[in-house]
Amino acid sequence: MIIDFHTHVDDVPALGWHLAASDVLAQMDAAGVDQAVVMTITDAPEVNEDALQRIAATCAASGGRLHGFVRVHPWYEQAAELVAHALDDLGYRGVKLHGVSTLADPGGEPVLRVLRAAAARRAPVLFHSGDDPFVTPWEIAAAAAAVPEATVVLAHMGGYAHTADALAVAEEFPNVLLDTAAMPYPAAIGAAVERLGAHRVLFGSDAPGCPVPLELAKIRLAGLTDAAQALVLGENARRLLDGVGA
Amino acid sequence: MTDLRDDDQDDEQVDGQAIDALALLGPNRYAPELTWPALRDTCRALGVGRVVVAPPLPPDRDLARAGRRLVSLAESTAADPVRAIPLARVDPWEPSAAADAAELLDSGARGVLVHPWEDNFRINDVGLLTPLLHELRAAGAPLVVEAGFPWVAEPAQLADLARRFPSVPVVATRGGHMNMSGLSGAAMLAALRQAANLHVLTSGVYRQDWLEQVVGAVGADRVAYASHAPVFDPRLEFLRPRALPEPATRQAVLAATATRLFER
Repeated sequence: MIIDFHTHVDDVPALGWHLAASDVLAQMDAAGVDQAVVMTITDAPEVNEDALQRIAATCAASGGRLHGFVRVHPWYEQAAELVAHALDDLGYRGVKLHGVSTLADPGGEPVLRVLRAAAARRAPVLFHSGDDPFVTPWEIAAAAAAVPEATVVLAHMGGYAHTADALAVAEEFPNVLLDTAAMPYPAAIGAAVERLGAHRVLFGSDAPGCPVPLELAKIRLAGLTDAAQALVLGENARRLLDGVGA
Repeated sequence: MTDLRDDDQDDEQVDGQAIDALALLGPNRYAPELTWPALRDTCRALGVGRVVVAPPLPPDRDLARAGRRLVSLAESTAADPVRAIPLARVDPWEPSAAADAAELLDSGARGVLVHPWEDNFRINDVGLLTPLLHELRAAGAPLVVEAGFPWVAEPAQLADLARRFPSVPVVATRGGHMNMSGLSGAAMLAALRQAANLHVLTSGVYRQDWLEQVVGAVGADRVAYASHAPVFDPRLEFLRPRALPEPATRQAVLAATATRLFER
């Protein structure tokens, strides 16, 4: 069972971006990926007012292959309510937060409010992490520290220049896991598994922009044991997705 | 080493014709040394027949000597199945930088690498870089820039430099990317549109569709495959150009662009 923990479906005419579920599913098929987490690239309730319903419908039509993560803008007063509605009523399995598109301080109360709503439902929160302000691993660590009952996943393992920080944060905070999407260093995946344990690392692609086959090849270049690879490629994601609401 | 070539892909440029447009070869102050036998074996496994090599910063900081070693390596591998194409590297702050570059270009170096982050200068510090750019213009050789670093090698700074020296090809590593949010990808595309002599290497770029967007916007002759070893893993980096959908684009990115830039 291979589960991709990081894909996108959205439609943003202003940017000319049309990320279709069919493209994601086609890449999954080409790479032998069974299921995927899917999220928008806009932050509800901004831009696309019907984003929650669209992702929910996309997942419902996928025959169980796609699992929705609700991406919200924490500045909006209703953000935590949107998260609760998505998780309680629409079948979502997690939350996505992106500090670059929202300029939301990971340690600030608006983000923590969202985090607490997710944690109350045992839903993982995927933070974009990388090299910009508000998304570096040690900034996101403030959120992980403030809500230790939340499961925090650092997408992209810290990006280009913050992979070492991502590993250090995950070592310090047991509620932090890492997703491998787009991060270009196979050796860093091996290092993460060695230092944190394979149960703390999740395969993600960032499809359809980043090809699923290439991102999957990256995992296979990391020099993992078969058991570790099975955890990274699917078993960890299965555990997190199955735990929502339990 | 595992052969990562896709046997199902109809691609005449793999099997010795592909060029890796940058690897950092030799003693390295900041990382384990990448040796020629290791790089050569990787190239063989991937089907790469030529590799552009530049010095990382050596522990003794003697960039001129490191450059001369690579020129000698190129001479000794000229008839081999995997051939080295040497670049000089200079620190523009050194008073002898332009003269060192001229000497190495005259003796066989095919361009010059600079590293604004490690050597602490802005890539568009025209006063500092003009003597070096004059030597490159005289030699008809490209400037390769370690790009993707804030403050010193940002996309708009690269475009500023390239516009000021339009006859010198400027080649940016990492696709000019500084982040994985898509912001610097957009900024680098804008830079490429502003300066026709600005090029990018594919190493480590964020999003395959960005590469395809660049090819569509400015042409495949502005994009070249590079492993950028040992910073990046050639086994992964080689998959990026191989995933480009059009055979003609793959041919350009895997060989033609780099041939034009470095095989004058």
